Amino acid sequence: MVTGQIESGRYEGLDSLYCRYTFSFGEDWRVVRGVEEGITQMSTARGTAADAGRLCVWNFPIDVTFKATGVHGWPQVVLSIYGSDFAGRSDMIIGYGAVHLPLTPGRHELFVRTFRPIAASLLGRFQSWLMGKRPEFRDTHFPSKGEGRDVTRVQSFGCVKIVVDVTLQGMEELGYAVPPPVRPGVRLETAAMG
Amino acid sequence: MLRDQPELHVIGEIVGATDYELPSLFCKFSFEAGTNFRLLQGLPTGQTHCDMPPEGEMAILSHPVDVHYAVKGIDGWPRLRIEVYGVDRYGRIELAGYGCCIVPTTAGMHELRCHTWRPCGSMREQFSTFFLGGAPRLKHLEVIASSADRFRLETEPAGEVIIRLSVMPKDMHRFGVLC
Repeated sequence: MVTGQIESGRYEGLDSLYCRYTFSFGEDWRVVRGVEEGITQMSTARGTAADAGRLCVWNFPIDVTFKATGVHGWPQVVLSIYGSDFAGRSDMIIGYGAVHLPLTPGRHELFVRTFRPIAASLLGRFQSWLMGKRPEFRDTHFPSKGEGRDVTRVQSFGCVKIVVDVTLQGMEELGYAVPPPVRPGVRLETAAMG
Repeated sequence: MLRDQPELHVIGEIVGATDYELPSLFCKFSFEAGTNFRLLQGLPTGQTHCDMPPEGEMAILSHPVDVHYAVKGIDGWPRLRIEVYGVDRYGRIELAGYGCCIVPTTAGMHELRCHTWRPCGSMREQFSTFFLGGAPRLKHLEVIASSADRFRLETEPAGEVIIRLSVMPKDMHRFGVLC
């Protein structure tokens, strides 16, 4: 079971952003309860006192329970961040990212660095800049897959923070060695994202 | 397959590559395991996308890894062989570094930093690399991950690859293996 939230995103120079999330998992897995995809609100970036830079706060709750017959295909959170570009055109892709949910129980802070695909040629890049049509992945789950990535060229930018609590049930009976939960307060807080 | 044969899951991602000179980077990787490890599911080899990060930042490769082995004995524990390549200003692919890192043997999440190296070649090759590009590469890639001799191989340090792996063994303790 996983509960938590998509807390915030750091994208320097960008103002209003929203985030779409979905879970990607193997064939042995299925969702027992909870919502497996969603879209956050549009958040305006603002500098907070605690952080030096500007932060988009989503504070979007996640609560999903999975069931599986094998560990292979462990669920991943796939994020796609959308926002408006420099010319004010909305719903432009800002970044994709994917991360495996932690395999150890306990509270985890995940920092997902995101990236977006770019056109292969300079001409294509100029065209997409001019027309405001950025290349996107046809399959939303693409960032969570290992195949076919050798031909993609991307540009990385920005970072999203996710906080999740993971609880595992019945793993030890099946012979899996589950490490003890990570206790909060043991890990050092990272001062800055990225 | 034996009903309670031990199994090993390695799940994680190749996070990124940092401290390389080339502007855009990608990485080829493969899990090399001994004969005691038989692959059941997952992709043991792959190539990441090519990332062009903003100036001075880490290249994000974010490549998911999820492999599942059946284990007969614990020697020949899997290791990850990494080849980092970069694209230079003229669009040519060049070698950036080789590296090898052992998959941790304890259950749990691990963040690994793999320092890489590359061969520097003879004086003449260094001279031509400086002006024309095309850094020397290894002819036999087995050298990267094997414990055999690397005698007389001259290398120089390259950047680092950051890998996050979670290891989850199954049924190992039934055979007295503590991990």
